[in-house]
Amino acid sequence: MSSKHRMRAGRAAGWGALGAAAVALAAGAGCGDRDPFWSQPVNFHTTAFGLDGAVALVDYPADRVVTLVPDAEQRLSVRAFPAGTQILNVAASPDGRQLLVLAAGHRAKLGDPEPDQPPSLTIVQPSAGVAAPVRRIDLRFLTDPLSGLALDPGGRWAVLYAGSAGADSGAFVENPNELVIVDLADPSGAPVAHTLQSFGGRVVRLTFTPELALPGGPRHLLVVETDQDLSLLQLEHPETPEITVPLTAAGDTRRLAPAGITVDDGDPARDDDARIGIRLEGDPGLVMLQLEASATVNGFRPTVNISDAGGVPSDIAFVRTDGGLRLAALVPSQSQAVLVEPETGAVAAVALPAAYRRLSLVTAAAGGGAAGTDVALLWSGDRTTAGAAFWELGRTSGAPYRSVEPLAVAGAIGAVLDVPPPRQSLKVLAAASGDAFYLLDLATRTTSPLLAPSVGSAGLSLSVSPLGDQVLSFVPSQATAATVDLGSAHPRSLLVDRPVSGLFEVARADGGRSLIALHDQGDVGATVFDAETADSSKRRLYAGLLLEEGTP
Amino acid sequence: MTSKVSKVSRVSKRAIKTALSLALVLAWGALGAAAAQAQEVAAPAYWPAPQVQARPDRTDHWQMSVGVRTTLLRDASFDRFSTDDAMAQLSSSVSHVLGSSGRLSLAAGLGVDLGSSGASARAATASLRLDRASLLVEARYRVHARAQAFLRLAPGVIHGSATVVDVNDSAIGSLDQTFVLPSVDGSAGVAFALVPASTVLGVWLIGEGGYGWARDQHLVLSQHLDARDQNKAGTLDFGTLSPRGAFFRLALAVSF
Repeated sequence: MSSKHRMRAGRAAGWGALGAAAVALAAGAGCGDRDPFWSQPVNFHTTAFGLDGAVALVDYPADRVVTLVPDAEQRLSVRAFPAGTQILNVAASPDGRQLLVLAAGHRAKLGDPEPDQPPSLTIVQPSAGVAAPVRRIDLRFLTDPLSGLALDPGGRWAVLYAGSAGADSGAFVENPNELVIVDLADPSGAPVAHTLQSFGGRVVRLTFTPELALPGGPRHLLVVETDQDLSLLQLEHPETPEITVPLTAAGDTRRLAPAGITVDDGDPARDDDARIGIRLEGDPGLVMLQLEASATVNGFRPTVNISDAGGVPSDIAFVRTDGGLRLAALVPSQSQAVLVEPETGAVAAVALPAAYRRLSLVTAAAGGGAAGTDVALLWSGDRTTAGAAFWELGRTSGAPYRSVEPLAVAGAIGAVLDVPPPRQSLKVLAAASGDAFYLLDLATRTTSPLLAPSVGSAGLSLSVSPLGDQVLSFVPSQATAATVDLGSAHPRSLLVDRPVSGLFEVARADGGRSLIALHDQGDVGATVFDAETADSSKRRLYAGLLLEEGTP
Repeated sequence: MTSKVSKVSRVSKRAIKTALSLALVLAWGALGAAAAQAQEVAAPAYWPAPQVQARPDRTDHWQMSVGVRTTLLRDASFDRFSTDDAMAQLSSSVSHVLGSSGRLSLAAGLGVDLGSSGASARAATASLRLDRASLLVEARYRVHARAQAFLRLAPGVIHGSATVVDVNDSAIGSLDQTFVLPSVDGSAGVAFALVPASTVLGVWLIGEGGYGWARDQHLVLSQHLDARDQNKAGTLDFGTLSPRGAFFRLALAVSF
């Protein structure tokens, strides 16, 4: 071979090598993109819901809901449901059959590979046998999303409003008085937007009333509390203008805000005596609205009575005494309760043995109601006042109450948990100290203490199984969990290998029940037990649940 | 976790860079040597010319290669294990010419590709190791004294291992699965000699592209627990992995 040929061959080899290197480099670097899902962080903090037959995890960064459905062998079936881009708010329906997910959607700019997606409300129904487990309600008419979500305890309506997300919701300009009412019972019905006539307030809280007998027919009302007034809107007819009741009297320079409301339908035979009681932030005033017949477009109008409780009320409820309906209010600063006569506004004070701050009516379960009078359970709601008491609201010897009967509870009660049927005669009293709880039998008015002295300052997280058979307890971020059978008060500790972030009891399709303890490390794990036995030798551990395939 | 993955990625990239640098240095060196040799021959310094005894061209019977293979795996299940759909492997082979006819020759041999890919997948670290052993059948055509084209068919098996570390400090946070799959590669390439055919040892730069097929594998990862605890472990379903796709290989080979 001549030298010229050799040189040519050498050059050819060099160029060939460079070409091959270029091809290999192109192949090795940046030859494809993966789904952005895998680069999303995991942000899992208490965003788990116990639903009917499943536990649902809200995977915010991945815009989806992941359901965990247990079987008889403690295996978990994982399904993922897309829930719209940028989840703003999530709420479970009271019956646990639906999870409602409000998403802001996405507005694609030029060149944005992610397509446009309008705001939406996604309803996930993971129960077995549901034909369409996901239903999406398009909220296209909302260019800017609303982040507040309130659900009707009856499960019929959902209301969207300007929530607390603020700038995080993606809205540039927000109307704090805008509501969107969604009738969940009407799959074909379009959401209805309604803007409250503004007097300068901002929506703070929404309350759905039960069906009230009102002039013009039975109605469900939406009570909208703003930071300065209160509005009443007919849910069946959201197009009807609402009624707004200012809470500050003319000439008063203060700006009184509602702190809580209570509703009573009154005499079932009358349609003009439904009432709404209102307590005020930092003010001793008690406002009572009676919804009387009127020739206005609503067919009713509120008449306002204001009474002085003698101190700032901490809780209110309509109660039935021997003397008839009263608005009861607890005034912890005076260690007393007051009973307000709704017609006259007359106030009767009742001395209490302690500065109780919270009350709930337990009439039926506590054996009251025979004479048409209520029984209330009083407790403190914080660490300041020890104990709890029953308050009989009958009248004896001229006193506007029969008795206040303290319970044998050593510490302060932080919360009272209801127990669903079949054990609705029980209440779970959570100690404010976080290291004990009590099973209160309303029928016998006895308490069974259950102590967890090793818990320390972390405090127990308590919940009652939706099946009404167990109290579920764990210490957040510790590998400690236990259940207490509500029939026998027998505690059973659960052997878990990772810190627990949630504990749920779920009814299985085979008729059994499973306990699912969630672990929020990594991509979320779970330990599944049979709830009948809580047998640790038959538990099953899962890790990386948010990594599962799981797409429906 | 992220740092671990980026470390894996860095090591992988460094290996590729090193191999390429080595190839280019060798190519440059060989070119330089050839040029120098050409200069020597081109300038006779005295008369009569010396008696030059030319060495006969080398007959290559054996070839051994080492290089980098990059496979594009577009499968969605692979996304957990890679940020760029690419699986880089250290690729080596040895082959022997079984027979030749003119410019055409037929060779057979063995190939081994070793490699893994890792990435952060949500809060976890996921890695997939794929090691392939294959039988090679290769038809070579010498287009030039220093250039060859070839076609290769390589049936073999893949030994795979998928691992996810969900929680680093927990025995139950690590899950894996191993599997064996049949595979077949079909490829074509070119080889350029970096030294003259008259040298004792041939040095080649090989570029190759083709398609590697392997059977689907359903990935169901399980936790690392003692046998007595295995029934307490739930599995992690990653769906079906299809470890097949186009591949490219850049290698250096020696022949003799």
